[in-house]
Parts: sequence; structure tokens; C-alpha cells
Amino acid sequence: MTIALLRVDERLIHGQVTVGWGTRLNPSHYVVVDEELAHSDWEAEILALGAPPGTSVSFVTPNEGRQLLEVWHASPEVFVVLTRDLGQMVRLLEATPVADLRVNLGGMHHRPGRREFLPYIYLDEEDLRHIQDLLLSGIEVSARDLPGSHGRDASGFLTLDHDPRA
Amino acid sequence: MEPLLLLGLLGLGAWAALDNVALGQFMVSRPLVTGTLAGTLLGDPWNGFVLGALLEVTHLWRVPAGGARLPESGPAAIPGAVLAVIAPPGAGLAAGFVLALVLAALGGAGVVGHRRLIGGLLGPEAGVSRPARLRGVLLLGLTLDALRGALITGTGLAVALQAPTGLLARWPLDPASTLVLLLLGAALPAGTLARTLLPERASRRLLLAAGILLGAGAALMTGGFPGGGP
Amino acid sequence: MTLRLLVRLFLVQGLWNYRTLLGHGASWVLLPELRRTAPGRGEGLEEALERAAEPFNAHPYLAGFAIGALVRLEEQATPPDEIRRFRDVVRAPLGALGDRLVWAAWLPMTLLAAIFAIALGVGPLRAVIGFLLVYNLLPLVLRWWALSAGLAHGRAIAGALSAARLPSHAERIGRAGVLLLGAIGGFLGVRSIQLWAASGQLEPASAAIAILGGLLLFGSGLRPRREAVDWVPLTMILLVIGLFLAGPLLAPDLLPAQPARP
Repeated sequence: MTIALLRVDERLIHGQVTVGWGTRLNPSHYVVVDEELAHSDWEAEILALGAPPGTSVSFVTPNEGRQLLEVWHASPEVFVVLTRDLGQMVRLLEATPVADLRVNLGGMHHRPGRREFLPYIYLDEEDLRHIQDLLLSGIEVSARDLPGSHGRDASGFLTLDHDPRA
Repeated sequence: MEPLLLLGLLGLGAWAALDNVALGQFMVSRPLVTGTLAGTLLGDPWNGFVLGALLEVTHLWRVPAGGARLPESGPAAIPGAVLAVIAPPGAGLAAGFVLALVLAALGGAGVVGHRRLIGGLLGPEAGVSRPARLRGVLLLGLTLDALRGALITGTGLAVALQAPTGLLARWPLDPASTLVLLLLGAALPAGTLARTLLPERASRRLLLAAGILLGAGAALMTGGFPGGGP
Repeated sequence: MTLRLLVRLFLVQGLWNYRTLLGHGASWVLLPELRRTAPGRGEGLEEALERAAEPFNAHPYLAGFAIGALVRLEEQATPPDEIRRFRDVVRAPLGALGDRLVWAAWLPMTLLAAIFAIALGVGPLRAVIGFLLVYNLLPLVLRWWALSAGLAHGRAIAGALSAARLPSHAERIGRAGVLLLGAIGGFLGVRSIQLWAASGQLEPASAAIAILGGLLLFGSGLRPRREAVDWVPLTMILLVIGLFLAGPLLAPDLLPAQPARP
């Protein structure tokens, strides 16, 4: 089928992804794109425990992921691709030839320097710059934690009085 | 309504709100439980159960994963059940169901507001790293959550007890047809619930078919609905 | 210590908020242990509490895994950065496994069992009490087991979690739930036909349309794309209000208002 969900979520393979989105999209593969986790066996082992039976989990770096994007996109199987921050999502999608990609913001939580845009989306200046980069590359970015919840176009986060380039 | 009964219903609403997230999660907060208990307090567990079960099936497919914002049906089912019991059959169930759906949406918004409030009270400058302050916010949060549940239940009870008989008399369907209509509304979420329970399609179809046969057989072999039915 | 932690775990979501999710609740659960371990780490209690309150999430019944492991890590004076990495990574499976096992399988299955029991003739109050007793068996076992395993294994909880085969149990429970859902549907279908036949209030054609409509709606709920289901509550609200308003037009022979039952 294709990449059914391309999501930024700090919690990676958790309940909203496997139960909320998983029961709707029925993916066969979960791919975590993360520089650190791709080289950490103990963390990957714990994270993979959350995947539903009958699905596979793999951990790749953003550079490796960029090479594989076209393969996942053209595959007859369903992929869910996750990063835990926007920076790695930008690196994954940098100059990608794959068209019609949509990035879902699912869980970016509070930390010093971030401010709230939605109950599950807190962003800092760098995050906003990354969103703008994705939008400028023609990639749709929207926030939605669960399939049943109301989605929000992330371009609305880039308000005039809050120029991330400033 | 007698003060003791009113107090009991408000207490149940408060407990349901606390049980939903903050305290224990023993599932006293399920609408099937609160609806049936409210109906029992009013001497009609059957209508309380029917309303609770309809609410249950309408919302059960939603999984409260990762702090998802969902309707809160527990406290809402109490006034819904009261209306289903005290109003004319059919009209009472329909009006009670709608009242409960609206209150559940309001309750869900209240949960979001409560979580925001707790977040504000726990802000970085609030000094919550002091144990006494942390305990204080916890106790305040639990108290406010209970009050929130009682408020939803109380508001709904005020509406249910004041429901104009003229409006209720306009309901055009008999009790059995009303139940069928509401069951039809619950059929779509019930199908979705089957998907939540078992994402794998082939086994799901087989088990559903087996279940339907089992249920049909049980209906043919048993008498009527308990308590005389709807 | 275990019992004290277990009791506190019933309130782990008492401070749930969008800033730290379960973080502050976890810090409150850990408070007595931090009082004990903080001096050994050479840090103050407030500093330890602040660290414990960083963003975290887990299914409430499985949070004990993380809490137990964190107690072990604090006792071993593990560097804060390593504790942070552990918290970040463990929250995902503890959420996913618990959501799948409890919210998507055990809870609906036990609720459906209670509804089916009532259909079979068990009194509603008895069925509801039965539901509460049966449902709570699993959470109690999960909470105890999770905390004990966390305390015993510390950071190496992956083995214990994996050996428990929670996803397989979830699948089995889900199957039972689907069977019960079908049974309730089959029961209601047959019983509705019986009621109509007995009351004579509804034409057989209307009954057939209602049953077909129910099957169609149920079938569309089974389809992967389920946006329509999001609109069910609003649709039902509007439909019922519409019927109240249009009542006299649809049934001109409506009786005068019946007196409310006492």
C-alpha cells in the first residue's frame, strides 16, 4: 500500500499509535527513524515491545530512512513511520522525490522554551522553523493525536506575530 | 426528589468523575454502572441499564489512549437515566439519551479544563518540588474533580426534573420503536467496536457470525427481557 | 515499601496534566522513596522531586513497572541522564501494551459480557456488580505484578514484559469480545422480531427495514475508514430533537401528555 502515517510523536510506538491509528490503518510495519535509537539495542528492545502482534518494528537513522522512503512508499504493505522530533522528520524528508507526503504531529510535550499550541502540541522557535521548512517543501503538516479527533493545519501555528525566522 | 436521593445521585456523579481518571479507575465511572445504579436508586434498574448500555456502545469504541480527549459518559448517564425513568416510556429514553450525550460532551470539555488547571497549578514557578505543595495540588485537584462530576450530574438533574411534559408528549414513537431507533444509532459504533476489539479481519468475521448464531439461539431458548423489557 | 507504593499507584493519575502528563503523579508516588534515596545520591529532596516530575506517561495499571524500576535506579544512584533516557523509552510500551490489553480488549469484553448476561435474564444490578468484581481482577493483578517486576528487574524490565505475552492475551480477550458483540446483536435481532410479532405495533416491512438498516450500519462500522462514526452522537442528538419537534406532524393522533411516573 504505502506510508499510511508519517508522524512526529515523542512517545513513538505508544497506545495512540498502535490502538488509535493502528486499528484504522492496519499497518504491518512500524519504522522508528531516530539517530540515537538506531544505535541503542536496549532502548530499541523496550520500544519494540509496544508493537501489536503480527507487525514488525525497525529502527533506522534519518539518512538510512531517506534512502528507504521510496521503497516504503511503493510497497504493497502498510508502513507507519515515526520520529520523536521535527528535526529528524525534516532530515528524513529532505529533498525527497516522494510526492503527496503528509506529516502528522501527534505528541510534542512541554519542555522549557516551548509554548502550547494544542494540549498535545508544545513548540519552540526551532520546531516552528522546521514546520515552515516542511511547508516550503510542499509537504502538508497537520496536528491530530487520534483519528477521531479534530485535526489542525500546522500552517496556522506560524502566525504573523510569531515569525519563526525572526 | 427527596434530599437523600438527590445527595446519593450527586455523590455517584462525583465518584464517577474521580474514578474516570484521577482515583483508582475501578470503572465505577462507566455509564453502564452509573446508569444502572441511578435507575436502581429510583426503583427502575431496567431503564437505567438500557440508557447506560446505549451510551456505552456509542462511546466504547474510543480508546482513552495517551490522554485523548473523550466524552465523559459516567456522570452524564445519571441524569439521563433519571429522565428515562421518570418521563413517559419512549420519550423518556430518547430525551434521557440526548441529555446524556450533551452532558458527556460537556463533561469531556470539563476534563480538558481540569487538566489545564492542574498543569497551571503545577507550573515551573509554582514551587511544586516542595512535597507539601505537591500534596496540596493533589488534594485540590481531587476535590475539584469530584465537584466537577457533581456539577455535571446536578445540572443534568435540574434539566431532567424540569423537562416540560408538553414537549415530552410530542414524542411520536412507541417505546419499542424508540428502542429500535436508538439501537440503530448504536449499530455503527458497535461495528467500529468490533474493529477495536480485533483488528484482524478474517477471524473477526468468523467470530461475529458465530456470536450472532449463539445470541439468536439464546433468544429463542430464553423467555423475555427481565423486568418485562422495554 | 511495596504496599505503600501500590496504594499510592491508585492515585498516579491524580495530577494528570498536559504539561507533564503523568510526570507529577509519578513524582508524588515516588515521594516517600525519594526521601530515602536522595541523601545517598548527594542531592536534596526538592531536586529529586523535580527530576521525578518530568514529562512521563504510561497506562495507569502498568505504571508500576516504571515506578518500581525508577526506585531501583534511584537506589543505585544511577546518573540523572540515564534515568531520563529510561523514562523516555519505557513510557511507550507501557502505554501501548496497557491500552491494547485493557482499554481495547478487557474493558469492552467484560462490559459486553455484563450486557449479554442481562439479556439472558440476570438482573441489571447483579450484572453490574458482577462486572465490577470481574473487571477489577485483572487491574489488581496487573498493578501488583508490574510493581513487583519493576522493583525486581530495574531497567531490565524488557524480559519480564516480553515473557508475559500481553499482546497475545489482548488478542484472545478481543476475540471473546467480538463473539459477545455478535451474540448481543443476534439476541437483539431475534428478540426484536419476537416483540414486534407479539405487539403488532409495527408492520413486518418496517421491521425488516430496521434490521437491514442495523446490519448495514454495523457493517459500515467494520470498515477501516470510520470517520462517519465520529458523527453518531451529534446525528442522534439532532434526530431525536427533530422527532420531538416534528412529533405531532408525524403522529397527529398523539395522546395528551401522560403523567410522569412518580
